[in-house]
Amino acid sequence: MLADYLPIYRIRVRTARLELRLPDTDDLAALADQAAAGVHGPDFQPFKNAWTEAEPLARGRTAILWNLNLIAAVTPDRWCLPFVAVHDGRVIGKQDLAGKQYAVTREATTSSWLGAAHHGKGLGTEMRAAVLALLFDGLGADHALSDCLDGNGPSEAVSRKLGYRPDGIDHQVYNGERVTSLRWRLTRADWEAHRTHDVAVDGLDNDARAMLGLA
Amino acid sequence: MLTDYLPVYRVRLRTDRLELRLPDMDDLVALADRAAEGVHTPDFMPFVEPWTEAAPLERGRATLQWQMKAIAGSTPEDWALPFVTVHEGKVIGMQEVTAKRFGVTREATTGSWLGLAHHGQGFGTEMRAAVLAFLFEGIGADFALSASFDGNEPSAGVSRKLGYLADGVDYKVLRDQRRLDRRWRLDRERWEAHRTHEVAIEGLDEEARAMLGLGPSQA
Repeated sequence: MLADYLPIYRIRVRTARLELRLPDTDDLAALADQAAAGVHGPDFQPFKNAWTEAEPLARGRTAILWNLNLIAAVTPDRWCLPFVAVHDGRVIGKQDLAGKQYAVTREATTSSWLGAAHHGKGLGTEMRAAVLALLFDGLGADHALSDCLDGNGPSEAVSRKLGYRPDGIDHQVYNGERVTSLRWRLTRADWEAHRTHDVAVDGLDNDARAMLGLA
Repeated sequence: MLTDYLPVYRVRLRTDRLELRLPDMDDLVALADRAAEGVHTPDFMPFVEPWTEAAPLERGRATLQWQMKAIAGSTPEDWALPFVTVHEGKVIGMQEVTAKRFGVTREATTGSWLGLAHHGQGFGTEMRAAVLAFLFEGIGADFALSASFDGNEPSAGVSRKLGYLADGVDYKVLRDQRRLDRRWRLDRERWEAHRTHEVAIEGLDEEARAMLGLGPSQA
């Protein structure tokens, strides 16, 4: 079984409307369909690498290969878990959780996207809340981090709603222009005070924890 | 569908006893099972990277992540096709083909392993023959390359049988010991002259070829 070799595949995070899980081949193909159908409107590019500017099939291919590579590269010292978000049995987007030397730093970074048809329904908040429960409740984090390009209102709103505070900025270059990225940081106390959803975490056993560098 | 986004997954190579295909997650798990059961006897380490010395579950995990990385890292300029070898419905090993700038160099390198229970039955020759047909007949290669550590007679035997000629040596370091690695090269003419198996190639359409750096997109 896949989970014998990669015990992180046992992890399931559930909220009222969503399940987060690591993707098998079918889930990756379903995620590619969401990427091909479109992830954001044409007026604002939320991604630093602008992968969504490619043609639909190329976007789908990128979604599969990118996430497969993340799973392939997981080590206890450095991991990124590319959960797919499943709503009513259908993959609607993804929610990453990434840590480096997590056992020492006790902080991890989240990022996500949703198929455009699923925007505006609170699902972005719900999937972030899910992965925050995995992080603070399940993995004993002290901090959660996020960032968004300046002007990405929906992402910023999720961070504010869930209790994150501003944590400085970064400048990056996109299409030859300087763009500002806003960093966000959430402490355990602020997380506790801003919980919005009930979250159930399953399958986070000792083997799964060992893959994330936790004894 | 996966093949909409990754058309190389349409490619199927069939011989008398084998099917070679690119693995989905279930195939990778089956391949990990073969790795966990064992790939070679303890008296000879055939791999430059001695991944088979780890415990069974770690060997399985390494196999899964290694093959995922090979697929995820493929581009038209630098690709790896880690085919799984299927015999009577069961994954018994893997047969990889890798190339850089194939559209220009017209050469590719093969590497493979088989679960220990499947050694000694001619499968290694048959799966190599399958990817050689893919290379020479399917995508117009001029050369196929291989390498084997000095003393890996089964691998060298396959190369000789299929017409490869010696192509120099490399020295590698394995656990602080110098090891002699023998390179093998097969040209199209000798491939033709040493064909051993009938091979059927399916699904190698224009889109699959484009993923390998071939076709109109390269014009």
